[in-house]
Amino acid sequence: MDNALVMARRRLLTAEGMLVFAFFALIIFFSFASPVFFTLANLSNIGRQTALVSIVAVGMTFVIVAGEFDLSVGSTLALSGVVAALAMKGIAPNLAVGAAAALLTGAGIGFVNGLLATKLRIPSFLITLGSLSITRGIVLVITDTRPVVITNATYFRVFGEGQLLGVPTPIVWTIIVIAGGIVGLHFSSFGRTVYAAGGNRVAALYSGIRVDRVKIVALTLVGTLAGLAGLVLSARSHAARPDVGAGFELDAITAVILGGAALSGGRGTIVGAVIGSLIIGILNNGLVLIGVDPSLQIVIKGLIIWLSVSASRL
Amino acid sequence: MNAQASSLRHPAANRILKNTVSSGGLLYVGFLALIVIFAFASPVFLTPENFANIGRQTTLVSIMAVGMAMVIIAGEFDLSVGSVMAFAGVLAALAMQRFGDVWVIGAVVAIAAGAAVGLVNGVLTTALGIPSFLITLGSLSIARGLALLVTGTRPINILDENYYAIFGEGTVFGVPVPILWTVAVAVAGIVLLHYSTFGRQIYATGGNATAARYTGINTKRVKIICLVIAGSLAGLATLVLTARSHAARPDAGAGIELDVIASVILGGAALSGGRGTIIGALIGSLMIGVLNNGLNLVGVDPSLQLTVKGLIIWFAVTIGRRQ
Repeated sequence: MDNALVMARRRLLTAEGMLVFAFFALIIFFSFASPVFFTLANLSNIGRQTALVSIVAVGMTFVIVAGEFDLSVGSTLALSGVVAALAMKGIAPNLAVGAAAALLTGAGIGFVNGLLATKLRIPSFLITLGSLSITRGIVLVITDTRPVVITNATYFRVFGEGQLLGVPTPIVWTIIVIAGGIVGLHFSSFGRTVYAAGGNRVAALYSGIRVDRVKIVALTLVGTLAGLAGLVLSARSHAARPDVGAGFELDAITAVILGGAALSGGRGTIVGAVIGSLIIGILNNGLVLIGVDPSLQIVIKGLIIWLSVSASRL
Repeated sequence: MNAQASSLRHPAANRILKNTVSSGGLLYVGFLALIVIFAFASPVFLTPENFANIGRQTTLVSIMAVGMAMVIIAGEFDLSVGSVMAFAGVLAALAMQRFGDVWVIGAVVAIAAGAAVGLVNGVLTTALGIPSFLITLGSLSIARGLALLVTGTRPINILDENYYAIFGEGTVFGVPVPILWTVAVAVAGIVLLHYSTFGRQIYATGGNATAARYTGINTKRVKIICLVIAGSLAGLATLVLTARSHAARPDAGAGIELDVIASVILGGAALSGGRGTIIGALIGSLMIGVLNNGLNLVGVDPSLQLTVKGLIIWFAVTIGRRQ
């Protein structure tokens, strides 16, 4: 426990500290540039807009720290939403049925990814590239490329549109996932095995860590969280669309890497990933608010990615 | 002693042989199996016209996969190649519009623009010690945004007939020029990576950067050159694309980086660097192309095609890694 705290603190003082600095610099800049930016309504907007990426980025942090990769989360998000919608249509228009269907779908895909990647010794980059395609194909086939409408009002409220003590539920779910991720990765013995598995596989094996199992759990976790993201998204749009989430994997991975994780594994934090996700969200939101030309927005976003990673690695 | 001497004499040939047998060998069997299956399933598949089709369809990915193979073997990554295609293409078209419709101008501008982005990627990655994944993710955005800005999001027409003929539509001895460009790039890539000192430096840099530095290899320079080559080849790929469509579109090449990287990894390269071959990358690219083409010919539902493609990727990598 102490060790984890010391490690977390040391990381905060270096790379993450600079990233946090970049994060606040952006907020201050946009607050001066736009009168609307620093209002409760807009900050809550940003929170809702970044909820999906933040939720999946928490799981992706486990995966990347464990030295693996998941390209399939966008397709998993789409399939989970669709399976939830179909289950509520076919079995019972019940919130619990939809939630269970989505989470189990996501967990199932993640589990298969993990099993194939570890037992066949194939890079998860390739396995999940396969599942990206397979899952997207299944979504399109079972929906016949049409959205599936959801009619359950409780479902909308619990995952997409409701509020808890004035906080929109997507943000509540994000906070729960972040808290769970921090405890799981930074304050549990499982979290330490994740770092060990990704940092030095051989050493981890010799110290009795079941590296394959750790990686399977990490990939199952990110799949489950993609399922949760599918619930939030479909509840917000009152329908599960088969084409959602295309390219989403790059956003989630960017958030994690921006947050200081190493692609080679063994390094990264949940807080870093969430800040990474928020930086991307603030950029998207702030540049629109101050009326920057959409083409120029893309250039500026790239420049700020360069700037924030440079700042955090100096 | 004798064996050692011969392996020292032909280290490149040995390495290719070893890589082929250990990681890629069975992949080639899978590739051939695919061809045999489609040949039986569709009467059109195994015709010269269709093979020329596959060759043309895979040109862009194959050309860029050669550069990407070097980048990945050197232990780096380039996510920006799709945006570089768009950026270099519109600059070439704009230059020809401004300075005269001569194909040489377009060619020089496109390749120089690609090389320049690659140089920036390389210098930033090595000088700042930032993962190239992040640097090139930034350039992915920057190059795409610039392409959209300078064109006002509209395509730029290209009028030079020679340009179409040389890069897109001509044939030499009956072989379409896009395929000739692919072959030229592949041969140059094989010579550079497998039969030159620089090629061995690429493997050393990606395999063990510290050891490479102690042997006197300038690993930073090696990485920069690899990224410049990848950028230049994205510039060449854009010439083929724009010559085929008679215009440069600022939205071209979005998402193609994943196909290019998938080809290289499918061909037996390790994401962590130090391993991979040009031939493997090309087979990877052809395999994806054969799949797209064959599944269409057989008449598989487009949605189901995605699932089948994914399953075959799983299958191919599984037999590719089994020893």
